[in-house]
Amino acid sequence: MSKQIFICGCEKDGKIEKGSVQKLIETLEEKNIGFTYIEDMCGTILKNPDDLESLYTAKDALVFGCQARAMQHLVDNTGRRNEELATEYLHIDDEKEELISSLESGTGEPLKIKYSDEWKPWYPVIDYERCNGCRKCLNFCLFSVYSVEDDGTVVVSASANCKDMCPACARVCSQNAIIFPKYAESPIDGGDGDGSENKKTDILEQIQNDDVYSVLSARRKNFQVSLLKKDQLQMAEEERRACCSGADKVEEKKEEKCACDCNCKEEPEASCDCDCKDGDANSNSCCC
Amino acid sequence: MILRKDQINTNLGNALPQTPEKLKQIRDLIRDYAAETEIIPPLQESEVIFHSGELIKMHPELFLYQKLLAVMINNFAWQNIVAGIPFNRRILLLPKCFSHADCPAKFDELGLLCEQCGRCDLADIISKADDLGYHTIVSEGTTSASVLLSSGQVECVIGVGCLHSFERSFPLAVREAVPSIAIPLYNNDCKDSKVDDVWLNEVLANRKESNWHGWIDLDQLKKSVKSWFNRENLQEFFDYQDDTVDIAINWIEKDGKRWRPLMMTAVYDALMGKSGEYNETIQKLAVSIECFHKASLVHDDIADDDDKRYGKPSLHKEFDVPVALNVGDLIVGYGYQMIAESGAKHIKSLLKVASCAHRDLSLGQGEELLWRSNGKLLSREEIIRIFSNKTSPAFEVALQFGAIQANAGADVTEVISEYSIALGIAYQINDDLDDFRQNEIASGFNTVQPSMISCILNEKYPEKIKEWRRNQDSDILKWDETKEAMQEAEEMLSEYKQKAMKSLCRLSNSNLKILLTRLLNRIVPE
Repeated sequence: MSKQIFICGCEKDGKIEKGSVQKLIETLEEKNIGFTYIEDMCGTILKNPDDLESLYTAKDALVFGCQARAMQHLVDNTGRRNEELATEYLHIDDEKEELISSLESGTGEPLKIKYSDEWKPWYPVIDYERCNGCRKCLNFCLFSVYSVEDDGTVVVSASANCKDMCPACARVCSQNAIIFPKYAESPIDGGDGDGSENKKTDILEQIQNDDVYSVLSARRKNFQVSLLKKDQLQMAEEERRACCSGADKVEEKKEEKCACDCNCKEEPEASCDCDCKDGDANSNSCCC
Repeated sequence: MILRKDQINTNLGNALPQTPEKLKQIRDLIRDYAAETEIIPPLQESEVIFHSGELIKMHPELFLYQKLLAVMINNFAWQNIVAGIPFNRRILLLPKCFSHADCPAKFDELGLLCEQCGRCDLADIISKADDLGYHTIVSEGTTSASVLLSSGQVECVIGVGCLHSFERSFPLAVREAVPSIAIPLYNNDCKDSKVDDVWLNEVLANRKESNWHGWIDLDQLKKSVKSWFNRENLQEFFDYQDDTVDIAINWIEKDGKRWRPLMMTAVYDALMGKSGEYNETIQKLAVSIECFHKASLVHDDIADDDDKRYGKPSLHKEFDVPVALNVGDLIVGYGYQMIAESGAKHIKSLLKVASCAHRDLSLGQGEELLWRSNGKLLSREEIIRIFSNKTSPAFEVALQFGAIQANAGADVTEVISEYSIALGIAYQINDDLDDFRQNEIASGFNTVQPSMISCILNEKYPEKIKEWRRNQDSDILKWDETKEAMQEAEEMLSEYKQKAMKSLCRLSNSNLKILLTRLLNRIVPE
């Protein structure tokens, strides 16, 4: 059976690789596979939701764009796509060759759904599979983006009040249920994260039960120690690199050649008085 | 579901001047205004609104900056006290929106852990604050501010933020009476935020040579007060070896939150400037207050036929009713004796306050006991009168003792009277509400004790109360009418809390005003 293909280009201050989008479009065109290009799904869903009728009604949809979870909840939260219809969401950079080669060709001309509004569609999307209705976000947001329905469901009701690039409510959410599709990092962008976001400390509890000032001093001290450790770790990494065996060493050093074409990295004894010799290994320009 | 009302709120009076000169000009106008008006911190919301209204009358062009004015008047009120607080007892709250888009820092629940990479102005501000000894937090939104303010431990906050965040935190800062200065950002956009750094630096470095001694660490004080109730101390004060005295000492020694002695000592400290050392006079007065309280508990338990007190057998269950009655009387006698032998300067005033309170309490109790036998439902006014007779005097004795011992004049003692009445009523309404916030109604409810909620319910839906009286099994807690009555009681509660707060506006002593504001929220929490 034929799938209906949609691609979101995330054009309004987007975060996905334009090149990947272009490549996918070219591939589909080459194979004469029909698709609908959505300039910016976040924007269209909010401003001209009717434009996406074809997406809501597609019998078997395949959507390419940013994080799958972000797109899924963005679309689901409109309440307009029948959840029994088959839908697959894929990140534009996901492995997809096999999938594409299985698609039927000759399925029509490419279509385009424009987003021409000036406003950058930056607003939160709630993942209701995770949301436990605690209302922390509601109390947290200073701009009344959230509200509560009669049945107690927290909803995003004033998206345009949301401040561009402010993902703060997502960070206070204990369930990681708030997605900002255009945010640069996972899991706030709807990705899986690296697990570290779940590591909560009990500092808020400590403040309520212990001496506030000691808790704050300890927090500062611990943090400074961790910064120091980070520095030491970095230094150790550099030293290890410097101590690698012969062949590796030469190869690596070649890569490290200074942008200014001096030989201080290959010849530690070189006469030039250069910072990159013993300084920041990542720096590739020097003063000589 | 995503889109409902897609407009940005715009409020009048929300504007912010965009130059340091204009901000300075407003600060100067406030200073000139304050030179002719008494502004005593902590200011309540109504006081702040009043003063900003007055300023706008004098300078109509300031109308645009109504909210900013409120913030800056409050700053002005606190600035002298803040200057007296050591840097290492101050907390600096900076907004996360200062940070650069490529900020590499990580977060914990309190906020951003700035690595001081130099991409934004935070590094600079933090290192200055660090050098001075501040505790700095870079937070998003107002969660951290709320947690800190409501901990009741924070002595001073310097906050940088947008007007939105101040609006959120202000009520809390008022409630906890935390000395605080708020420095507004130039914009409210949550990114690329800028602040008047000259002003900020001025505030950060503002320090008087002398320390302000008005902050009372209630938790620390409680520890001191509790230590006066150890057995050795009590034996010394009771000074008589006897089996009945033993029972009395036991009864006083075990359990009890020591709220009343704590209140007395805190008021004394606030008026005297904190001392931390308490002579025998203070200790004896504190014990006498606790004596009156503990005696009333013994008698109450008998009157209410309560088997348990602090989860243990009540005194008349441990012994018997005649023994308990007598021990209660003995403790009252000791209470008066301790006042008389305390060596306090104003023993006559103390005795008058204690005996009047004793009388009022018995009158309140009497009205309640007589109500029990006639069984008719009381009106709101009658219940309020019982509350103010039964509960307010105990608070008042404690507060007045502290004030009298600190040589306070009528200006203070009158405020304390008014405050205590409102506090006592608020406390009882809250207590009634607590009964209804449970999953089941306590036994004896509405037969042993008059309740504001059943009174309101009866006023509005007499049929419902009749139904409940016929059938005590029906689930009164789940009725919509009960919820409505609770709502009304909540409103009364906040009305009386407001009354208590309002009485404090007449105080000219900041320390006492701060303390009584804090106590109100400890005794009757939100």
